[in-house]
Amino acid sequence: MKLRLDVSSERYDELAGELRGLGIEIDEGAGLVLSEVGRYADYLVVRVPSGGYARVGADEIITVEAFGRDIEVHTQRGVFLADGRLYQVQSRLDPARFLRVSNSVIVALGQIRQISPALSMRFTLTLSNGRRVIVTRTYYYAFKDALGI
Amino acid sequence: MSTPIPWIAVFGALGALLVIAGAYYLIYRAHVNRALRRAGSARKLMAEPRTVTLVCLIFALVVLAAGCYLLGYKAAYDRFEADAAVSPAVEIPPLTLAEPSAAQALFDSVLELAASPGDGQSVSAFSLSFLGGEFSYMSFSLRYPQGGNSLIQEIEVNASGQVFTAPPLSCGAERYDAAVPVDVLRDFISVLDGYDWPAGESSSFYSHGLTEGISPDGEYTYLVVENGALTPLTGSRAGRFYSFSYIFTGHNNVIYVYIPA
Repeated sequence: MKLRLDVSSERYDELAGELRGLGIEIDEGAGLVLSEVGRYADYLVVRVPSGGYARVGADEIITVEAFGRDIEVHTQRGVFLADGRLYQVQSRLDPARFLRVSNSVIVALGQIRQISPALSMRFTLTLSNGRRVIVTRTYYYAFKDALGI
Repeated sequence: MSTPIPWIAVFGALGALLVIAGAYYLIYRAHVNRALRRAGSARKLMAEPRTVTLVCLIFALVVLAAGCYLLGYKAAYDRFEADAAVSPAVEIPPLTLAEPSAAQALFDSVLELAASPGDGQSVSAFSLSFLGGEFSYMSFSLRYPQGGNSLIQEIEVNASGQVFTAPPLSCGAERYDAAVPVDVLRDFISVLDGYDWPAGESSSFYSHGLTEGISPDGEYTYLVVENGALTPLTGSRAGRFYSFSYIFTGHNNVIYVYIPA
């Protein structure tokens, strides 16, 4: 059986050793996930072009965007594809640092460089990689509450 | 060709609105970005630009409406003042007369003043209510509004402490039919004192203008001015006369006065 560990790095080696002792294989691409209650992910597992999986630290993430069935993780290093659905990714990320701004985009608050308000209940966010994303009306007040404006 | 003041006000209000809304937008944007950099610090809420824009718009519309109203009022008043300055209107301030014996002189002077503009040689029908007792003062205000042929006459009489005010007469054609020359009116006034007028609850004189012949019907009292005094008339009389009626409602009776034309 393959299992993916989604725990803090302090406990990762200990748990991985015990699971391996029980005959369970640790695989980043596994469908089953063993996670830690009350803890948000320090990283996201993404696919790399050469095949296999890699970790992208939460500090590196600028946006997570959904395009159809694909999840794109935008970082300063580039764009990576991830598995799952956007709401699943959102549930793993710290809501104090990541905010849903539209039905298809999650933004890292620390990566926002500028906010431009509009008269039509929208914000345009300029991100650290130069891209611009829109805070739609649905998430307008949630965004304001998060920033306290 | 100069730009009308209301348009200047409209564009001024819109310009002020745009400046205020634009300035607030910049302040709000700075506030939002400051909040982003100070995440986690004390929150300070600001109204959204669209709310401020809406409030400013409503305020500008109210101010604009009030301003246009005041400007229009001032323009109309200035025009009225300018028209009044060139009109031949005569306005006689209220006069006070302590001695009843001086009433005739007062009335003469008033009529002379009133007769000066335009076709003011005729004074329309009027109402006098002072005959129930001695009057202590009369005041007349005769106006000839500019731009029309109407005559407005207001008469106020204080008779034995009671003030009677004749309603303003906006004289149309039917009123001019009842108009009499100033001299006739003066003669009429002069003979009023020599007669024992019955007092009623409400007594008024009315002018009926020029009539042809007199035919007493026996029901009412008919008086004719002869030799400067009122003389009762019993039979018919030929000729042209200016006629007045004195109506006293308390006795449901009428006295007709005729002055030879």
